[in-house]
Amino acid sequence: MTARVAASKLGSSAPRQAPTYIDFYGYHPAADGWLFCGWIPLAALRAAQQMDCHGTARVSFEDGELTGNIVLAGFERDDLANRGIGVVLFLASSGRPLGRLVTIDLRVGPTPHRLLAVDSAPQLRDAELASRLRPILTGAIRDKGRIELLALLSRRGYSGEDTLDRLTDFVQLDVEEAVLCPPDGLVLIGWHLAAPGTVASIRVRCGVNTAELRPPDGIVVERSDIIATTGEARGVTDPFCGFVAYVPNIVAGDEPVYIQVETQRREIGFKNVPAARLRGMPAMRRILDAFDLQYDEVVPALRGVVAPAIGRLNHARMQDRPTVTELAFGPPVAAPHISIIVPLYGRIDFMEYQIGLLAAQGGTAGAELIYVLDDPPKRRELHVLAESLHLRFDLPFRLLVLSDNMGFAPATNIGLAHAGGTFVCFLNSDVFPGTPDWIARLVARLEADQELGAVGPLLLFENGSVQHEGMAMEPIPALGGLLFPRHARKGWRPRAVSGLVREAFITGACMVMRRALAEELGGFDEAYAVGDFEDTDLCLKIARRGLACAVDHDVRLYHLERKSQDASGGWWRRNLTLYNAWLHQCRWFGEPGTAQGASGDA
Amino acid sequence: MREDRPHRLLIASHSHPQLSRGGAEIAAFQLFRTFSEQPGWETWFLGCQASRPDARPGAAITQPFSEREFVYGMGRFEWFKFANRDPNFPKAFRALLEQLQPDIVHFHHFLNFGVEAFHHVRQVLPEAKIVLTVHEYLLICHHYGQMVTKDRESLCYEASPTRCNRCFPNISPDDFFLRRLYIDNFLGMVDHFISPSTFLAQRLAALGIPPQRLSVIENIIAAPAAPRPARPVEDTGPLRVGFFGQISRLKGINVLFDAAEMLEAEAFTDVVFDIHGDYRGQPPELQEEFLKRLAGAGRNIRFHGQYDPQRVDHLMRQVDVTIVPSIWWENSPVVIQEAFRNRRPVLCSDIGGMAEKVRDGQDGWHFPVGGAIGLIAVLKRLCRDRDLVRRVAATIRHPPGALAILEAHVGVYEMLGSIAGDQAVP
Repeated sequence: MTARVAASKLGSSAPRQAPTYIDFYGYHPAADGWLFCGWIPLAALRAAQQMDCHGTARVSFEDGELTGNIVLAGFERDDLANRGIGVVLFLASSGRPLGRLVTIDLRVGPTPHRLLAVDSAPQLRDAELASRLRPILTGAIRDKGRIELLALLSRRGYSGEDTLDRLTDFVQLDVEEAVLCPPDGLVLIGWHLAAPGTVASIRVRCGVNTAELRPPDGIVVERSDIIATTGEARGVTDPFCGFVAYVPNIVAGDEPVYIQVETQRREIGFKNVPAARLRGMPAMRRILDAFDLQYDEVVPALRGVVAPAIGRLNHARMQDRPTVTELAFGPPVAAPHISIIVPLYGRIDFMEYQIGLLAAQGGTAGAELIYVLDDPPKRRELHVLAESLHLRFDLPFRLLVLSDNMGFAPATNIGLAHAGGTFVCFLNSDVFPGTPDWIARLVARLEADQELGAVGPLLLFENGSVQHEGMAMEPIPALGGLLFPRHARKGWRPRAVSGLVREAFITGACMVMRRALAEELGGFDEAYAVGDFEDTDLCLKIARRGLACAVDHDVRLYHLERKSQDASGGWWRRNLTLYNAWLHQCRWFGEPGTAQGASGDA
Repeated sequence: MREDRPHRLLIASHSHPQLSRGGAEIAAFQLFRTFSEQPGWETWFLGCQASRPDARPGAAITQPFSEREFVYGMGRFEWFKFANRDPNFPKAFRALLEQLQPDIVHFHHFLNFGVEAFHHVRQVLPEAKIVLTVHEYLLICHHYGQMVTKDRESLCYEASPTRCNRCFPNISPDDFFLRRLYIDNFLGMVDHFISPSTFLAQRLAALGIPPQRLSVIENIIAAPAAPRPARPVEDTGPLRVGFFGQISRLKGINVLFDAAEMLEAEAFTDVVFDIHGDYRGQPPELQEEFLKRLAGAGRNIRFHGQYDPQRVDHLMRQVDVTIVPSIWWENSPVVIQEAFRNRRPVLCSDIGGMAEKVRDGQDGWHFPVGGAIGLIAVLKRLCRDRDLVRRVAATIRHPPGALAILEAHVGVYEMLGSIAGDQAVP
């Protein structure tokens, strides 16, 4: 777009008054905005003075425009005589490059006024801009605008130093951890103390990027420790001074990130943000361990912080694909009818029971057995066990050893990519055969019914009570009303039911489907972090394809639910589950709180 | 109520015999078993599990043992006013009631369920009758339901906000008042109370429960394992006095030590106390005290250590008399029923449930509570007159059998109109 075209477009709404001119301008980083020097009609200045020297403006550059509040100060200019008066204008904004200045449409008082940039008007860098404006403002008309603009001009810019201590008012802020959410988002974990009413704004800055930080917008965290060590002595007692905030689109290359606090006195202080040091899972854990969410806190925290941050981190994590090392024990199964895929994590020894039981029950005719080790430190233990199992049971199987821990969905998907069966069975390592011919029975169900997308068995706890006979989605009020899968009749004795019963959702702990369908649907969705909700997500994809899921009550296996996973609790695991629940719900039922999301029916 | 279908009975206990071996849960479970064997009855058992090694996330009530046995994996029980704050309980319990549709919900204890459980029954099954068997004095006394003062372990006769505050200075009388109010409001939903002893029934009546809503029915205890033949009472040699059960101050262990010391000082060795039981559940200072006193106890005390409940009948048959020297009231001690069925006379403190169950001179002998001198006098008399021991052993009343106890329960249920079609609800 050229300046001429822009001017003609704007011409339709141009003010009646003759335009005046801008002589020079520039961006001033310490003042955090643009300064313009030119002249305006005396009436315009008078009108502005009526409003404490404030007004609004739209500033058009060649490559964009800025609008917002302005501060202005008038100064005498002998060359103008009675035609007008000199003016310095300030507009707070980021310093992103916008090209050459074209016009300023000023609104102070009832009459709009336009300023044009003279063709030769130079865009000055901060030091030169300040040195030219300082004498002008020193001699300017003594009103509120002059005081404000002089204060802005005398601000010291960011020089890499923490300067909050130099502020007249007590303001403390610390970022204990900054986590990069690729490519350019940032999670800040820290705390902030100030006497009420002293802080005007807090901005996160990096290079030309700037973002307002309002701690209540993020997640508020109780930090009694900070009150005890720092707050009480200064009369600040509210323990909810911790924050976890997500700042989008902020990181610019290797530029340092810092925080700029502006007080009501228009003083500026800076605080360095530590360099982001964590990546992948440790980064996700650090964020998710920083807070505990209940009821009404859940949805805003997920929407504002957890979903954008964890979504980006997990996506980046999934881009780093692990190296897969394949070890075959026994001869490969030629043209397998079914591939059984078992991810291993934590309890490696469960494999001994699985393979031993499969062998004792007559083997796995026509089935290939694929174990995926998603727990790299257990590699050696697995090698030793695998060799022994092979020698004892002579049941062929393959090991896929991943170089990095990926989570349930990616590990299973890697197994799927190595599978050759017409059918696949996704099997958890803590599911153990009960009904001897369970695989053949489940496959037969799929062969008999083309409308069946996935089938699973009745899963029992070790005491014979029901672990799984299908699931339904149910909102949990304490978890923000998010929908979670509820296992029907969990812990009760099995019903006197036989045959196939269709269910909206079946567990991924043991699920048999055609390999072609599994591949078409992309296996388990890797957007779900670590392992939750990917099975119900797959069931919904199957349903969208017009196919059904079902539980075969004639086939029984044992499932020692979650015994294979890390049982150590902590906030992070719970918060990660909330993230997965959120993702699942936004995808299939609409965002919680919206009309669509309010429905709990699945 | 139709007579052509079985009566539906849900028995709810604060534990399950597979999970702990307290007398109350055994009594509740034995009642469930006895009813299960009766034609015309559909019976279920709901127990609780305090520690949850195999907790099922998201499933508050499960069926770990059998089709008719449910277990509630409890959480967040509040001991002061017996409130159950577990958010998962109400829904799960109500769903169970909806499914089972019992005519009678018979609680053996409100612990773990919380007193609000009565409210849930009322809401879901307005017609069902609620029966509560009370097993101790917890409703009355916050001091572990002992009705013994906290500082001096002296007997307490009455609970009131000010008296309770004396035992618990940190809990205000107002709080004790609120506790009473809270509990009473839910107890008001119970149709009938059963107490295993008249003494406890009187205490409940003093609490304001109308006598027409109170019955006394003995507990069913675990059936005996086939014991070996009894050792006869010898005319010579020391009189064998058996102590069975938990070893604690309130169970009167120090009364035995005091008596043994006095006998030792007199060089009287014609009595031997055979102590069977465990002291390791006691606080460390009490364990220390026990071991110290045992070391200096002299020739009249033999400590045998913990015993297997399955062997109690056999062990009892090796002594001449049993002793229950508790310095608190007791209710209906299982050990008395066990002594009776093995025809072993019982020496007991002359208070509360013990004195009620043991008729002085017919089932055994009373001695003043906490009084070693009085105990020694009785013991010396028995040493001199071994025939008296044999005579009393012959007059001991038989503890009621399981079927008799079941009939008594049926009587209560009938009286409530919950199992007979044409009777008015009282």
